[in-house]
Amino acid sequence: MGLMVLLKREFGERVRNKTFIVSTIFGLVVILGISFAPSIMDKIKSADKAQITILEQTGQVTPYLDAQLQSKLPNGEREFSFQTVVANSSDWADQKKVLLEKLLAGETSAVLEITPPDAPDSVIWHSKKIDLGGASTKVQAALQQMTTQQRIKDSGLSQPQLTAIFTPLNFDMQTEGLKASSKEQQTQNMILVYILLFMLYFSLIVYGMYVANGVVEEKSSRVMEMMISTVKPTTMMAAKILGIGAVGLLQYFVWIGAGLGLLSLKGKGISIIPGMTLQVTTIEPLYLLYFGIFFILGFLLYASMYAGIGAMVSRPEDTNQAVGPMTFLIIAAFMLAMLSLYSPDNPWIVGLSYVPFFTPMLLFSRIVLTHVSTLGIVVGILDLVLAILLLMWIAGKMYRVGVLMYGKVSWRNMIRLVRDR
Amino acid sequence: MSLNLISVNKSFGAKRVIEDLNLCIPKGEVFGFLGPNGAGKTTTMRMILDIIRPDRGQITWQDKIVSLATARSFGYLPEERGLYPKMMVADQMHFFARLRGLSKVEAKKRIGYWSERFQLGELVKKKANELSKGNQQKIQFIIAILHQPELLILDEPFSGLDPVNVELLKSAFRDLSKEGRTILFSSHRMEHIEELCDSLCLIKEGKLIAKGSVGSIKRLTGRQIIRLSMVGSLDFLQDFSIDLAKLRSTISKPEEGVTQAVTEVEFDLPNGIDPQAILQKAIEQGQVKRFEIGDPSLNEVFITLVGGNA
Repeated sequence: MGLMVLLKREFGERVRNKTFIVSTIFGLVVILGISFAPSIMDKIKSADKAQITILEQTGQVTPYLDAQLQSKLPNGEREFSFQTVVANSSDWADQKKVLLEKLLAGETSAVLEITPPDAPDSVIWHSKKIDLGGASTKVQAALQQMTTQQRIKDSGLSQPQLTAIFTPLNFDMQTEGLKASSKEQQTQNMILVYILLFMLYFSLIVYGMYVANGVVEEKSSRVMEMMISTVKPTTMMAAKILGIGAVGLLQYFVWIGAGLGLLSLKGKGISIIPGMTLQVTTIEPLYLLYFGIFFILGFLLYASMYAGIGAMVSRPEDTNQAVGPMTFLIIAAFMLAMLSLYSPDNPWIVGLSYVPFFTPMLLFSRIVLTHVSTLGIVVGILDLVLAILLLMWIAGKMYRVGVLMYGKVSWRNMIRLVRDR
Repeated sequence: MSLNLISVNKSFGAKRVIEDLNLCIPKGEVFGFLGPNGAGKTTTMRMILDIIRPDRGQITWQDKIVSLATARSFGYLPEERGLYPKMMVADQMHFFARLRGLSKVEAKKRIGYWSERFQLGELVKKKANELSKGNQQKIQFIIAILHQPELLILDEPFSGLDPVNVELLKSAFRDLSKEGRTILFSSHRMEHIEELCDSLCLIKEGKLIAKGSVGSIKRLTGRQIIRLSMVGSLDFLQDFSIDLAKLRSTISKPEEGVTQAVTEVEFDLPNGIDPQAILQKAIEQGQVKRFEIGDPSLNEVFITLVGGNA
């Protein structure tokens, strides 16, 4: 009865809060932004057309490059277009001068000098900007290939021999004992884990802070004294944690719902990092279930710590400082989880994934990315649950005496008060 | 059917806050809890509510040791008023009523009744932090009594209220008392204690120094006070070895139509002097408007008992 009344207040007051409404809408805007980001990026990239004017002696290089560099922009146009100017040693300098003026006037994006008379073995790329890994790199690679082939040919090898030399090796990857059967699948899983871990990280910090602030609010406004003579501190704490947890879940339902809706609407999947796409159809439902479990357990674990710390603070201004160590713990867990993305079987990662503070992130990451025995999963969840119960008990005690502690906060005072009451 | 404190002791660290406190407050009594700042009043109240526990001794209510279960049935107005700052007042009252186990309908009914009685009007639609301190206090008082507690513990219920609100609160006090509820309250305003309490106790540095009915406490000092107002010279008082220079509250005011000033004085009756002799002398000296032999006010008793051996 008491718990329900408290829960209702905790949930109702928070959901009606402006901050909640604004942050939920903001999250939706971000999700929309991400889902439209690829097409926006396409638009931006489509403007990257390179018009290259080639100054050469033979007139043979341009057709070769034109044939080799067929890459298309997202809007279907070709990335490169070439113009050729043939010159010989007598009028080279004049032609070059004319072309460079065109370049400066912006009529062409680059001028390429192929084996100028004064430097027979070199190619010079003229451009108005320092090109890092863009058009110049692609052109250079193509020219390099052309030269290599030419040189090998000059050394007397026939075309079939050449083809044989350049035939690529068949390199096939086959993973055993893993749920992911292919590289694509594993990449998918990694993205999924990354996103979910980030959500977990974000919510532990944000909702944990809500819990701490809620407790401090009750203390600093002295409501605590009223409450503590009415309900058990554990009930109070449970209501606070569950109420805020429910608020968090509601927010996620809205966000994930919107995200999944957009994913399935777009069908082809959202590419978050170029070359890696996340598709709704390939998400293994079991992973989402594990995410749910670890989300809830992780939240309970950290929220009870936040609540205990909140009970020690008497002024709202001190909250941030007091929860500092907690935030570091969560950041450490997240960092370790990032490491686990690439080496989920590292003995350190395996060991740490059974330390309750890290279990929600590390064990989840390992379950998705590598093979964890059922026993391992059960043990992980069990020790997490035990740690939660222990921490809740301690936090409940701290909560109980926190009402009497105003002003100076120290662990010694706290322990003494817990003992004396 | 009473609240009993049996040799209650409480220390915080090395500091003894309550020492061997014994109290018995019968059901239906309005009991004043007096003491200077830091005497241990709030600590005692918190112990009655089982917020903190005595190191030694027992506190019982209706023969049961106090616990959360008993505390839930009490009404409590803490010294530091506490409301959720950003919650609407009406919601807040409803929340606390529901928390104490009232049904929705009942809660609404009683909130309606008390809001009207305390003239809250539009205030119920505001957030708590938009209210003045006095108004917050009225809300908090309503919250304390919504569930019709058998025992009410009120820590300084009158502080910060304007005279109109003090009257509202006093009338509520009287009604609650008529309904047979036990009220324990602390105050530094002695006139409120005198007016409302059946009996009271006075504690100092955690020790009980006086308890009993208001009348018996007043007689405790053994002092008698003479209140005299008259037209004429007061010089004769010197014959009774009363130092004119030390007279308390000497007020002179010209009365309408009378050219002579009326002098009002109040002084302790010196030992071994018959008050009738003073009256006789006064009549000889001038026109006596008022002559009264009485107990000292509670305020004076308080100062004597608390300040005397400080």
